[in-house]
Amino acid sequence: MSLASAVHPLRRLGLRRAPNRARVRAHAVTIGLLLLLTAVTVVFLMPIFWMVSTSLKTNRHVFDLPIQWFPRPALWSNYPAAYATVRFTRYFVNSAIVTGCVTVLNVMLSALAGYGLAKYRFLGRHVLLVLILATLMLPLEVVMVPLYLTVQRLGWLNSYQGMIVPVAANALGVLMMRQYFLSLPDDLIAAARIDGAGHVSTFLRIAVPLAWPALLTVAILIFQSTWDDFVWPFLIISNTSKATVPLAVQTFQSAETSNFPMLMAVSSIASVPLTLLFFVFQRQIITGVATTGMRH
Amino acid sequence: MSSGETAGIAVRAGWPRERLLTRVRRRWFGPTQPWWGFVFTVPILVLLVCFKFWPMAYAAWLSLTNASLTERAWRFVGVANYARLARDTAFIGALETTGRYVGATITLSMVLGLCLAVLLNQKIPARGLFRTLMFLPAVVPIVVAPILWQFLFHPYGLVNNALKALGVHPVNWLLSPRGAVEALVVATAWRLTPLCMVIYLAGLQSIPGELYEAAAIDGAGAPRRFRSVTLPMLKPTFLVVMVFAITLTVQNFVLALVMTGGGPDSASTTLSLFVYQTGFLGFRMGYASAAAIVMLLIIVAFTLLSLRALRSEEG
Repeated sequence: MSLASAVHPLRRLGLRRAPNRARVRAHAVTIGLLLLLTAVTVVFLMPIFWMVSTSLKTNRHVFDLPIQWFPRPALWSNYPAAYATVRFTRYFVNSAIVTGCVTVLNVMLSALAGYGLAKYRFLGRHVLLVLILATLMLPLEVVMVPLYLTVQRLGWLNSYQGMIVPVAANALGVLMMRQYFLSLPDDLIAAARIDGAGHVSTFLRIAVPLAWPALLTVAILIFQSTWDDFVWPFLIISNTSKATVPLAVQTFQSAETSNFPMLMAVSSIASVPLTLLFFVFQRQIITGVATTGMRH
Repeated sequence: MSSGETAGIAVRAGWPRERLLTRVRRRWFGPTQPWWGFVFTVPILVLLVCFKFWPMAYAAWLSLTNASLTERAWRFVGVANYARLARDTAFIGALETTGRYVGATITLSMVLGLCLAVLLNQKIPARGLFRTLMFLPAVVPIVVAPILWQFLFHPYGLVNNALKALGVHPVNWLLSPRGAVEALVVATAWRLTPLCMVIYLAGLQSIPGELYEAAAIDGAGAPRRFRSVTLPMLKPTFLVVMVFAITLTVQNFVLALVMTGGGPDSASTTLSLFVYQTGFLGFRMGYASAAAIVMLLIIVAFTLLSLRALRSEEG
């Protein structure tokens, strides 16, 4: 390492005096990379562009050749029409209720458990942590049959609590909160305890205010995955008055398989909330995905 | 805290062993009141036991019965469900489809994700913008992705238009057994690649720059540096991405359900879709649970294998 840092400035000096040809080559490489990236990005984003483009056409002109990339005239009226046909408001409200409750519950439970596991050394805490983490290997799809039967016996089919309570506990939040609280100095907590604060008030007044970045990350990740969740509501909701946005989209799709402009307009409307969330909280979402490597 | 450590030393030094009850009492109810830590974890434990561990045990029990949604009376049938699974051509077919689907999807998205991550890790202008744009497919709601791709794979859709432009004969994607699985692979990989890319990027950024400088001084060109520095340093990340991609692809059946419905003729029925169809459309809860247990075993096996590989890599 010392050798590298000793040589590094020399190399930089050398580069600065490098002949023109080397600089030209470096520029050429950069431009080549940029072109390559642009091409890949265009291919990757093509489905999304095509969705928006198609949503502005009439059904007769969807498969017109040569391809109409930018429909003229652009039928923006497809959007209010799609919103009205699906009656989106109801489903947005349902999604907001379910996602909001799940997020709040999940963050509270995760913060509590993460704090308990990070800041107390009680017998069996490792076993507990392993047990909680093991549930990460247990996707909903594996337990959907018994979970359905359980919820059915509780009488929670077609209900908000049925959509909220079974998915409110998530080991991922515990993992992230524990990681955060481990980095919190023990002295802070000890000081509060010596000053006479109880266990709960130490947690609420010292630990939680310091942990808000981690709490926010957990909240955003849970919000995103819950809003996006299709399988669980799909299994237990048969009554449209309780349906969430993904369910409404799927119902519309199975009814109107070939009305492509409407279908694409509905899809676009349904994509708006998560896209907004991503643009506002991009940093949290990307670091959340990167550090945990798992979203569910 | 301190009392727990003293107890540990006492045992190791060979003093009379404390009785278990005394030890537990000391480690739980010491002066720092560590039992409060357990109190903090109780709420989430209650939920996890009710909605994770109990259903898991329930699934194991159901898989040994002939439970069905329509009949009240369930009977214990032993391993009959598993024996029948082994002979069920629909189940074997679903296993095969899952193997092909998962294999192709994770290969595609892991390779593409790595290429993109390496590209986006170079010093180029507007790097942040490209990273944001490339992540967008993962932001598209999971129920919208199959609708989108169903449209793109329409006989007169964009994919076939592109093929025609390239001089390739168009394919009736969703109505041919091979095309349906391939379409599913493309759709899944499209949404999975950005996620892999982000994990790779985190791994790439944790490689110390000195390694590259040292390699450059030793005269290694860019391809050599990639092969001798990037790839070996990225091995742990590679395993993480693989577990992530496999679990996500094995369990997910939304794409297959909405895009192909498992068709044509159950050619694109994956394992998780098989579980759903058997349990919720065929009402055979016991049989579906047996298939679900097989699915769980596959996920657990892959996770443990990669964890072990990861540990031997680090140790």
